[in-house]
Formats: sequence, C-alpha cells, structure tokens
Amino acid sequence: MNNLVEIENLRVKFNTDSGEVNAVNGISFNIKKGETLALVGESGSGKSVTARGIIRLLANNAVLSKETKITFDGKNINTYSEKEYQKIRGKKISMIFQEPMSSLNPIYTIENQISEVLKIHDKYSDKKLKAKCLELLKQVQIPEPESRLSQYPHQLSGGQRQRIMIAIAIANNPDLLIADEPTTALDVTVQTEILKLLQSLQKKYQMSILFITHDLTIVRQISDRVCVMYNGDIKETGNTKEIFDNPQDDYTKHLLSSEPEERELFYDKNGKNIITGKDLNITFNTKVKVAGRNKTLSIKAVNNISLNLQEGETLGIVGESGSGKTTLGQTLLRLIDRESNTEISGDINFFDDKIDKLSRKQFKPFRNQMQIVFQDPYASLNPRLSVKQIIEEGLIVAQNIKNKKERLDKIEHIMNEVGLEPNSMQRFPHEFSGGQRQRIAIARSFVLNPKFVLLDEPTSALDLSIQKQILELLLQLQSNYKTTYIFISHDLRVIRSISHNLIVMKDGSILEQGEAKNILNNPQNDYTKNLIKSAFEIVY
Amino acid sequence: MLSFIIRRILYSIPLLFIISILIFFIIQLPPGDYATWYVSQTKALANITQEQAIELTITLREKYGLNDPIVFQYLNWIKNIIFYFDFGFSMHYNKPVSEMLADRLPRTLIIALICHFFATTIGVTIGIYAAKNQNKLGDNIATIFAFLGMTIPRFFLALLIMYWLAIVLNSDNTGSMYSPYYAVQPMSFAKLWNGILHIWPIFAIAVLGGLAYNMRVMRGNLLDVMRMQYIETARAKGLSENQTLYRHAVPNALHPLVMFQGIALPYMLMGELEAAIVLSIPTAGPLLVESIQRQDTYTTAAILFCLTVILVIGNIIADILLAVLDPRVRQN
Amino acid sequence: MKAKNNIPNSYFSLVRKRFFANRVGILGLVFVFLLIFTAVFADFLSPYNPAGRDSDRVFYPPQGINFFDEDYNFSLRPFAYGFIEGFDPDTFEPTMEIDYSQKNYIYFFTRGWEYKFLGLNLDIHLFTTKDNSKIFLLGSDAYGRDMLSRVFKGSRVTLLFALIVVSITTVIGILVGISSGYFAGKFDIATQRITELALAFPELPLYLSLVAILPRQMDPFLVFIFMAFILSSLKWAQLSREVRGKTLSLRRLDYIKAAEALGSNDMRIIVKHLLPNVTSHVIVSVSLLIPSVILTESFFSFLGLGIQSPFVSWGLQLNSAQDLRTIGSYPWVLSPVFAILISVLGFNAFGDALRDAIDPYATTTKK
Repeated sequence: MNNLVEIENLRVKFNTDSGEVNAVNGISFNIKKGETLALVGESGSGKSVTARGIIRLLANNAVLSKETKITFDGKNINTYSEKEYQKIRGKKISMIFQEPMSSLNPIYTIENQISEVLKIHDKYSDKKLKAKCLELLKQVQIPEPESRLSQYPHQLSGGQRQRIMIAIAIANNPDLLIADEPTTALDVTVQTEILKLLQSLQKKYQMSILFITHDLTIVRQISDRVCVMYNGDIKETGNTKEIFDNPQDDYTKHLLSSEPEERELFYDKNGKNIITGKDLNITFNTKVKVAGRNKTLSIKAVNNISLNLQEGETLGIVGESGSGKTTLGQTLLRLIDRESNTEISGDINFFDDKIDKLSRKQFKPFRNQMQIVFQDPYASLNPRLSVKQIIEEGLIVAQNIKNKKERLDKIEHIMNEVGLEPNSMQRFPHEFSGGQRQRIAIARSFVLNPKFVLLDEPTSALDLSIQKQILELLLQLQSNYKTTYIFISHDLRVIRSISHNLIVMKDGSILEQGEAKNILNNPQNDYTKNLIKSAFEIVY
Repeated sequence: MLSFIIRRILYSIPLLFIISILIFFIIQLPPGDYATWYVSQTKALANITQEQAIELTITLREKYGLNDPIVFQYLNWIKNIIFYFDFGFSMHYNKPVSEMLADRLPRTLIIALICHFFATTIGVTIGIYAAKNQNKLGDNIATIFAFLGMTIPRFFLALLIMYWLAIVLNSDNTGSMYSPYYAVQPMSFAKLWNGILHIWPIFAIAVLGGLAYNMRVMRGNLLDVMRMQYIETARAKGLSENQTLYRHAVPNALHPLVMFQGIALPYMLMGELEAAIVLSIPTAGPLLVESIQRQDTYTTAAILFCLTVILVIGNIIADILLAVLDPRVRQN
Repeated sequence: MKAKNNIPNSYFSLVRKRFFANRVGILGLVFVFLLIFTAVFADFLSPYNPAGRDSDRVFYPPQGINFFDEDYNFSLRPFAYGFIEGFDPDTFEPTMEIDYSQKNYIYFFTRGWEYKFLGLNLDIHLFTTKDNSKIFLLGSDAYGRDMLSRVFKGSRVTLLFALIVVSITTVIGILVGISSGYFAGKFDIATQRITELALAFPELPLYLSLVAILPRQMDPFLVFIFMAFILSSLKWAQLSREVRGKTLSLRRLDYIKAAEALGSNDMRIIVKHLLPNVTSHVIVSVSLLIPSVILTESFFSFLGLGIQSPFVSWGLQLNSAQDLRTIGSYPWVLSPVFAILISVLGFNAFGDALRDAIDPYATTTKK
C-alpha cells in the first residue's frame, strides 16, 4: 500500500451566528508514504480546515460530515473516539503551525515543552528525557542546544522557535507531519533554512509531509505533488512539475498567472532628481531598565545611506525584517522624527528644497507631494470614518480645498481610477475586502496627485491574485501621473516586476545598489545571492 | 530577582511619603480640633461658662501640642511613626494610638487575608468551571451568582444578616468579637470558635464580593487564553482537553488575575470595612468612623496611613507574584 | 466593485446589532431606561409629596390594590383598604388590622399635590387618591411619608449624583488619559505618578475622612455637590489609566501615521482619529463605574454621612432601618434596596453587554 493517508469526501461545515457555512465541500485526495504533498490556495480556500480535519483539531462549532472517510495507515480513523485520536496526535500525526511567536507556551522552558510530548506517549527516565531533548535540538540544528533547554520561548527568535516546534513534532517519529504555513511569518533566508531542515528530516525519518501554503515558490521548491484548492474544492491535483508547466484547470491557470512577471520597465534617465538622501544616519535611543538602572539602548536603524531618485523612477528597497528599510522610507517622509528619542542626521532633498531640518509646520506644504501607502489594509484605515471621509482628509488638510463640490468631484474621479464604485463612498472600511481596502488607501494618497509615493510593502498582506491587480493598478497610476515610487518589499519577485533600480539593505546598511536587472542577474554580495536563491530557485 | 523586589519596595517609599503628607493635611482641614470637640461635649453635658470654655480649650491645646505650626506637627508625627512606631496619642481614648492599632489592625489584616484567600481560590475555581462550560447551564448560574455578588449592597447584606441573627435566631453573638465570657479568657480553640461565630458575617460578605470579581476575571481570561495558538499546539501533542486546560491554559490565565489583585484587594478590604462598620465588630472600620466623628486626629491619620501601607504592600506582593509566575517579567 | 449590501453599515449599527443579540444586555438597558424615566418623571409618578408627613398613618404596611371588595362587588376603580391601629392585649405591640369600611379609591391622571417640572407648576399625577384617603403601595415610614414616592424621588437624586460624578470623572479621565498617551514624554511620566498616587489611596477611608470634613450645618445641596467631587477625586484615575492604555495601542496604528502623512496636526488627529475610537471604551467603563458610585453613595447616606434631608436618597431611607426592631416590625422600610438593586444590576448588565458588543471590532490582519 503506497498511500499513507486516504481521504474520501472530506466535508466540514461551520455553525455560525449567520447560519451554516461550508468550508470544505467533500474533497478527496491521498498522501503517499514519504512524499511531500502541498495543499495550495488563497485565503478562504479551506486548506487550513482540511489539515485540521485530518488531525481532528477543528473548532467547537465545526461539523465533520459523517460520510467523510479518513484512512490512515490502513485504519479508519474517522471513527476513532477522542481518546484514541489523542494517542495518535503527536505520535503518528504531528502538526506545526504558522505563528512561531505564539505557538509555544510562554511560561514553560523549552525542555519542559519538548519533554511533554515525549512523556505523553511513552515512559522515560529523567536522564533519558533530557538526553532525548538534547538530541532533538541537535537534529533541528539549533545552535548551543545545551543552553536552550532552560530558556524560555521569548528568549528565542522566530526561526529558532519554529525549529523547537519542529523538534516537538518529530520527537516521536511520526508518519505524517502536517505543516500549516510554517514559514509565512519568517524572514526569507530563515524560511529557506527551515524548508531545508524539513526536507532533510523527511528523508531521515521517511515521513510524509502535508504542506499547507499560499506561496507558489515554496510549492515549487519542496513538493512532489500538489492539490490546488479554491472555495472548499480541489480544483486540480498532480505532480508539481506537470501542474506548473501545464495547468489544466482554469483556476490553476489564473493562480499561476498571478505570479509577478518580469516586464520591461522604462523611465527617463535624464529626468530631474526628485529625492536625494545623503549620509543618512538614524539611531533609536530607547530607555531600558537593566538590572535596576536606567540605561539607554542605541540601535542604529540606518547606517550612512545615500540614495538618489529621478522623476518617474521606481526604486525597490529589498531587505528582511530589521534591515531598516521601513525606517529609511518613512524618514524621507518625515514620519519618524516624532517617535521619541530618535536621532536623525544627514541631508534630504525634495527637488531643490532641503527638507530634513524643516519644522512640522514648514514641512506641511510638502505633504501634498509626498505620500505613503502602508502594508496592512486593516490597520491603515480608521474604522470610524467613511470612505469619503478617509479620502477627503488630505484634500481638506494638505490642499485646503474648502469647496465641498470640488472635493466630491475629485473623490469620485479617484475612486473610479482605482477601481472602486463612487457610490460606495458612504460605506465603512469593514464592509470591504482586503484588496478593496488597499485601493481605498491608494485613493487616499493619489487624490492629492503627489509626485512621490512611498509604497511600504503594499501587497504583502494580500492574496496572490489580488496582489497582481494592485500591482497593475500602481503601474497604471504611475504611467498616468508620472509618479516616482519607492517600493519596499521582502519579496524579490514583486520587486523584480516593478522596479527600475534596486537597493539591498541589511542591518541598516546598503549591501548593493544599482539597476534591478543587473543586480538580480548578477549579484555581487553573498547575502543578495542567498535572497535570490530563496526567491527563485529550487532548493535541491 | 532580589533586585526586582528591592527596586519595587524603594519605589513605593516616596509614594508613601507623599500620601502621608496628604493624609495629615486632610485631617487638619475640619475647622476646630479635638479641643473644640471636647469643649463642646463638656458644654453640652455640664454647664460651664463661656470663659471657662475658652480656658479649657487653651489648656487642652497646650497639653496636646495643637498650637504648633502645621509643618512641625507633621514632621513630628512622621518622625515618631518611622523611628518609634509611635502613632501619637488618642485624645479620646487617652491611650497611645499604637496600642489601639495593635488591638484592631492585626485583626483587620488577618480577616482581610483570609477573605482574600477564600475569595481568590473559590472565585478562580468557579471561574474555570464557568469557562469550561461556556454558555451552558453551569456558566449561566455562575454568571448570575457573580452579578448578584457584585450588585447587592454589602451594607444591606450586613443588615439582613444582623437582623436574622439578632431577631430570628435570637443569637447573642453579635456586635463584638467575642461573647463577654470569652473576651477575657486567654486564646483557646473554644475562644476561636466563639470568635468565628461572631464574625462569620464579615467573611461571608467580603468573600462574596471578592469572589464574584475573581470569577468574572478568571472566566474572561481563560476564554481569551483558550484562543491562543499554544493551546492548539498542546492539543496537537496529544494532550487531553483537561490536561490542556489545567497545564497550559489556567497558569497563563492566572497572570492577569495576579495583576488584578491590585484592584481586588482594596475592593475586599472595603467590603470588610463596610460590613464591620454596620455589624459593629471591632476592627479598623468602626474605629475609623468613630475617630472621624470625634475629630481624634492622630487616630484617624494613623488608620488611614496604615490602610494605605497595607494596600501598597499588597500591590508589591502582587507584582512579585507576577514576576515569579511569568518569566518574561522576571527577566525584563 | 460593489460593497456587500445596500445600506451603509456604520460602526454604530454594527455595535447595535451585536448588543441586541444579548438578552441580558437588553434587560440591563430596560432597567437603565426605567431608572432614567423614573428620575425625570418622578413627581408625575409619585402619588404624594415625598416630604409630606402624615402623623395619622405612621408605619402603614404596603396596601394591595383590589378590584373586588369583601362582598365580591366589582369596582372599576381600584381601591385599597385602610387600617385600624390597635394594640395587642398580650404583648402591647401595635397591630394593624384591615379596615374594610375604609376604601381609598385610586384616580388616574388627576390633580394632586403641586410640583415644578421644567419651570412649570403642575399638579397632575399618574395616580393618586382624593380627599384624605391614601394608598401606600410600599407602605409608609416613621413619619407617615409614602415610601413609593420617596423611592421615586430618590431615583432623581441617585441619577443626578451619578451623572455629576461620571461627568467629572470622564472629562478629567479622557483629558489626562489621551494627552498622556499621545504626547508621552515627561508629561506622561508625571501624570502616571499622579495616577498611581490616586490609585494607591484606599477609597472608603478617604471618602469617609473627606466627607467628615464638611461642616454639619452646610446647605444640603452643597453637601451633595461636594460629595460628588469627593468621589470623583479618586475615580478618574482608573478611567485615565484605561484611556491611556487604549491611546497607546491606537497610536501605533498605521492610520494615525497616515493622517500625519496627509498633514493633519495633533489636535485634528486627537479629535478626529483617536477620540472616536476611544469613546466606545469610555462609555463601557462609565457604565460600569456608575454602579460603584451608586453603592458608595448609598452606603454613606445609610451611615448618615452622605446625602442629607430634605434630599431623599435610597441609602438615607435605609438609614431608618438601622434599628433592628424596625426591620422586624416594619420590614417594608427595606424596600428602597430593590431600587438600588435594579439600578446597579441594570448598569452592570448594560455595560457588560456593551463591552462584548464593541470588542469584536478590533482591526485584525487577515491572511
């Protein structure tokens, strides 16, 4: 029998206040022994629910249909009682989750939490327990494993916590490992390491892995076969290579085409310099209490950076978390200096005006011309204001337009441009989807017709197909208004598809700078090479 | 860890100083002082002439040092408290205040602590039960019960209990700590039992209020914690629902509760005072009311001050407990 | 791209929907509404002048309303029987016997004692009796005053008192909390210390001391005002702490930065962006604050240290119940406690349900 798991007619419904909601509509698929099967889909596709259905960790209001049949290693586990299921959880089937920050209990040591999964399923002497914990830590390649045992989760980084989660998951040598988006919350380089780790463990233990993700790059990199899910159904199943090369289903085709593509991008190389930054240094001084005394912790967020943008150009800034890219961008817009205890030095010029030392009042007229779009469409719109009020604010404050009709006209115009119905301007943010909210945020900035817009990871929180739409919109607007962009992202594919020039940042400094094409095809720096590998290449 | 404790304590000292100043000045605010009160009482009970009254006032003032400038009086007072534990002299009872405090305060404290203990343990237990059975019958009953506990005025309860005891049961065990027989006996189990018979209403009332609060908070916390990711991790390890609940959820739910003790303890203390005042059981509460009515400055100030110190210490203990429970706070 | 339905779904309608799904909350709202209604129309609802003494009808028990008399004659107009006072020959205790000859008829919407309402002199009441007949639905007190009318009057005092305390507390709490949370820095540290100071004081003893400062002869109205100030003196601290916390968490949100990027100044950000998002929490805190104010005021009035006559407070009414024999013989003197219960329960239930209704609206990141 080649199949470790056989799933027939998996159907899950949720009982909510607004009635019954179908999450998974009777799907069927198999997981072979020793293979990595990817379950890919966008938000709402039902992939997470499917995974939880297999290990039966569904929410209280979820109803698993009686006609669902799950066969695991030849046994019919859907008829198992809760107690019987508890015996296989953590032993035969393990699961790791998306948020490493909150997946571990903050009040217990690492040793305690790893030992727990061992003690549940078998008897161990204390000595053996400790030895096994140590061995597991070494297997997941945690540096300095001995000292980690007595540490607490908050003392570890995200990547390290995820390794601990993996250690817990493989502790009892499971047959199936379910991984629910385990790398989504991690930096790209860490992501690659975790994926490599999973693959080596899989080979070693002959595990099957069910890998849930929305990231097509990961699917390409590690899966043997893939199931494409949409709206609770499986649209297509097959070998990864075949599906990517030759998709049959319409939705699959649609999904694959949403990946950011390479395109020919032009701008006027002889244009004026719109933004110049020279010798920018930004330090955060935070007061901390260390051993009872007040000390000031200085973190250098941006380290001696100079850059230069020309009108109509799109500069991509690539970096991982902590690289300083957001700090740099927001400083150019003078949004950082109000944070307590920041030291900013260096020159910033907007066209011919020196703007770094201007007071808030003096800088106000520039706000008109320099705008920003944030990453999180849920946090960047005030839930109490209507769409009209949100878009209107800039017109009132930055452009001082007193005439109501004039404002209304501009709002209607921009809403049409970004693809929103002007009729919906009386509605409130929560009535819109993520992609629509991002359009509102874009409208808010563009209604002022700014010359420069800082795009701070504007697509990172969106589904793949929506990402494509927003990118297209941004390119369209740029071509209409000749706007200059700085596009901050950690996603090289997106950057490649939209930037003329590129800056690679790490720990506050610039590692590489130049034309995007050149850097991506011919990286000089090792770090850049790593990033490119993680983004574009297959791992083994 | 030790440095944390020391820091916490040092931090409270300026706070206490400022509070002591405020207390002292507040006490001085009513027009007149003990001398005035005493003289007015004397006037009412015995017939003295106006001149005699004024003379008496002056003599009293000199005797008790009420003529010195306020700042002097304060400094004197605070110096005596810190160095000699001398809280001054109760002009009414003609005893050092420390004696009366020694009589009343420990009792108040012990009662408060015991009430606190029961309110917390029972409240937390019911809270866990309510969260486990969310929206089912058990939860609803517990919620109603909590509502009642927080809604019924405690002085009213005290009144009812007093009535029930005095009139319905015709019991003698009201209005003091011990029956006259036991009051003069040395401590023994019989005496203790007699004491409990007298003061159980205070326990009942104070615990009821504190219990309701703790239950609601625990229930809320537990429901929040159960939504956390690490609870799902625990279940994925193969833990049973109960094991998950008690090993992972409850300890994390206790944290905010510990912080919350800063509010719960004063609430309970106030409940105890309220009940004691109505039931006339000799603890700090009734003494405070008496001394306010008699303008017995030093006694009032001393009780206020001690109660504040108790609360501040309570908060410090709560902070320390939190550090013990939560490694994140400990390592800061 | 169309949005989900045809009517704009403002924040308020969302909250309203969730609130009304909670049955306990609706009950609380009903109670609160009853309280407000009673307070406003107290005089209209009261059959008799709350201050009106009647030495002939001291300590009357509550009278039931009858439509049929003892001969089963039906009377459209409801009435109550009067009482004959007598003495128990054995114990010499006073007794009340129903006097079937005395029928006190109830008239609705008729003229009764005079009162002032919104500047007008009115004398119309929901129900009262004519001539010398009286009906005491909750009995009468030691001076023959109608308990029911006094309970109604007391609601006005209670509500007004709570309102004043809440207003002062809210204004100070929001001012301090928002500016402390928004501007941070030295100002924040200073206000934090003051807040801690206020929170460290034991409430009850402080109130007792401050209340005792008020001179005995002071105008009862001034006593009322001062008491309100005294209670507010500590309660603002808790509110300001909550507001500060909420402000701090909101301040980091992107939409605040976006407003800055559009050129909004501090005042505009505070008023247009922070305040509306803080208000809902303030309303919840306030509705949960009112019960504790009512309970504290009742306790003080009960001790005789709070509201003074001629003002009527429920606590003050209970003061006369301190004598245990009174409770035994005339248990209806305790009836004002139900008014307290209903009010406190009402606000607690309302505030709780409101808190649940506004919470699920937090901005979350979906994936």
